[in-house]
Amino acid sequence: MDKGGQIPIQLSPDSAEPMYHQIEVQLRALILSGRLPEGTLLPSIREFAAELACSVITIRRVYQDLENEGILRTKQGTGTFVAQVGTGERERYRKQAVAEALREAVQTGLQVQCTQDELRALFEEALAQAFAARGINGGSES
Amino acid sequence: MSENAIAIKGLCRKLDRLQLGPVDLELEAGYVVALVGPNGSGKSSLLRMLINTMAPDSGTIHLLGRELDAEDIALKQRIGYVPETAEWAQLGYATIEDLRELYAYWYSGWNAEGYEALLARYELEPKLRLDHLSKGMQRKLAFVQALAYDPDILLMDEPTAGLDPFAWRMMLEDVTAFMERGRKTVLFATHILDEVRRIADYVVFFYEGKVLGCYEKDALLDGWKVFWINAPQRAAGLPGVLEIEVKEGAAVGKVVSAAPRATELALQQAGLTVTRTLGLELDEILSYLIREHKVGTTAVKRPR
Repeated sequence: MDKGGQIPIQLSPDSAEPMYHQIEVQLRALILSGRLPEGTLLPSIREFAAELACSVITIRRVYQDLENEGILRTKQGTGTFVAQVGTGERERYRKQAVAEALREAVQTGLQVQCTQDELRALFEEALAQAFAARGINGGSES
Repeated sequence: MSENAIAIKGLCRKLDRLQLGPVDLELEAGYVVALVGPNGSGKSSLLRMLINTMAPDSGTIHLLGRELDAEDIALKQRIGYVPETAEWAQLGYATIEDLRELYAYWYSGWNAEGYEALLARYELEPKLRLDHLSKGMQRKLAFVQALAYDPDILLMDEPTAGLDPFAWRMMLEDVTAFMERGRKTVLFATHILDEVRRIADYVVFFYEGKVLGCYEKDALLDGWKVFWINAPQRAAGLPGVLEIEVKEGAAVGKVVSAAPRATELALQQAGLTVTRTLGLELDEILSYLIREHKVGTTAVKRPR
């Protein structure tokens, strides 16, 4: 109940994606980005369900899927923990998440009839703005 | 069979304004199940039959794998009940303390410490007279009494009606805590959809004495969405589309879908742009289900 360690996950009822999928994507991102480090104890299934106002069936499914992926592990009687994640996997994920966000941005552009050139220009502009705001050139910072 | 906390078969009962049943329902242990339906649909009567204070005309009830039997004291000890209106005063108990003595005597699982803690948590004083309790206090007390003997099945009839928001939140927390104690089962009738959303795993829709359906709550909410699109008329006949709503002269309108992913895909393929996607509330879903039920056909094929 009043235990700390809440997991920052935002569920949107206004998405066509099923709840388990929304939770899974966000929890995976938290783990692979290192925001939930190895060994972190996750809430019990019932607790997590209460926190997110979803059913235990959904949470159980998420835990099982991520266990099968090897990024969570469950110890009998103690709970579900974040497992060790390989650096290769982290690296792959790092790019994957960005690629996904870009695909979504492209979709948004297409919805308002942007041309390829317009999209490219918008991307360059956003890039330039971001780096101008940081006051640096295109260094290899992550 | 023994996996089911509650198994109801062919249950029928003639009520004043309603023929209840036949009800067939199997609820697996380990879940919180909300019983939702319009007033007078027979929810309270169903619960009363489950605790044996109302006899069915026909059909059987198994709780925790045992057939319901008034003589089965051991089974009774494992069932908790929070009624809509408690009748303690009529039974001749004057105060909360009197009632505690009765319960502590009868229930072998009575946990004195747990009881004291809950009583304090809900700000109930042992000296309070039962006939002076407000409706909200009666519900809190019935809830505390039921939890104090740690039953395996907790049946509740609109347990949060009349509670202030603080007690309401507490009760939901305590139901969650109760579920953490092992293979427990909660079945509760309610009109408060926010609490269904928050704590239920399954939703049983009850209508005119019959079960319209038993649904995994998240699958139900996931399974119904509204898409706002341009020229919504063009969505007619696409997979999952149940209803199209568009105001006269408006370019943008609503498409209600009972299979959102299929609909979304079909909209994309048809070149129709979704400007917004919205979830439906449980009551809206229920009214669509009631409408489908009345028509007697499933107008929409729901791919699973």
